Amino acid sequence: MSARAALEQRFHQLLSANGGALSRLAASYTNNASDRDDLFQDIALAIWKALPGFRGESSERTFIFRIAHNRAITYISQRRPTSTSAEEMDLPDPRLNPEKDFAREQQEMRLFEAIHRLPVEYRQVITLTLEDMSYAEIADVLGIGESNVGVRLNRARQMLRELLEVRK
Amino acid sequence: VNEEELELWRRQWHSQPAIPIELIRKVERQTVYLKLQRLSLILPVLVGIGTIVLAFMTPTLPWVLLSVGTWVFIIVGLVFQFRNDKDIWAPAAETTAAYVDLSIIRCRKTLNDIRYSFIFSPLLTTFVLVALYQVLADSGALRIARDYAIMAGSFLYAAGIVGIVLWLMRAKRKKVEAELAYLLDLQRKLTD
Repeated sequence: MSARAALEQRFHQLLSANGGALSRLAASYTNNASDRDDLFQDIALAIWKALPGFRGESSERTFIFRIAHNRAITYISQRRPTSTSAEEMDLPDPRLNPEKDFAREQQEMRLFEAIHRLPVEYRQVITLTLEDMSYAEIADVLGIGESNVGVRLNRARQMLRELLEVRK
Repeated sequence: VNEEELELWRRQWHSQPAIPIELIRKVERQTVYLKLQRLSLILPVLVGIGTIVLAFMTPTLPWVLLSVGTWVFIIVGLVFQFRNDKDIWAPAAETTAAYVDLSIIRCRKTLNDIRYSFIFSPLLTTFVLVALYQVLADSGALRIARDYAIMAGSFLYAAGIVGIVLWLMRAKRKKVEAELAYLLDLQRKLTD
């Protein structure tokens, strides 16, 4: 197998193993399906470009999430900011149809929207935690200390709890 | 409690529904079409402006009535369109259910458009033909039997065209009704 074919195979394996998580990550940084698809494409392209340089200093999962988060930050910095500070959290409620009782889906959407309202530094930590990453992995992805991960996560959980409580 | 809470969030986070890409694409295509449809509203306004110009150039009663009547039809049409186009532009949330809801709203909008056309088109055609007859009679253009025959032929031709358009719309209505029934069924399944 040629080096390029091996690289392609590795790339496809990485995407199929982490596609769902990357799609959720992209969704947490964007406001609609079209932007999410764009960001997902950007992330996939960035991973493809960076993959030949990966020497196994960290796990592949940490490696691709680091790229994804960097790409996502670049993406939102080039566009109109979503919620990037605690002051911007008081956004109007999305239009949910009260006549429909999509209870389960609405609970998931409530969580997703609440996460979307978190300032970006807390959003990153909570989304990685929800993707089953350890403190060490999150610290590696975000380039911060593990203690800082703990502090941010506690704050993120507290804010998330408050947001979900308000929206009940 | 903290770990249970985190575990619940984790489950909810991982079960974010993936919206079928075909549904998103279809809704996006419809949005483009609806925006083009909105642009087409410029045409009747231009026609209305034309009738005002003609009424100023030939300030006789038939021309003035034609202009006033045309604007009444335009305003009624625009009011209907803007009211009927409420909530059709974007899903309320990024969920499958919201996309299905939007598709249902758009189907109902199309059915309303068709119902409206069934009333509006014959009325508008009759009005234009009668007004045209008045204008021609007033200007002395209808003098001999052949002129009246041409006029009657034009009336029948216009009525035939409207008839064909309404017949095509009837076929479209059946298609949209079938799609609406499918979407309502899908919506029921999503709520179960």
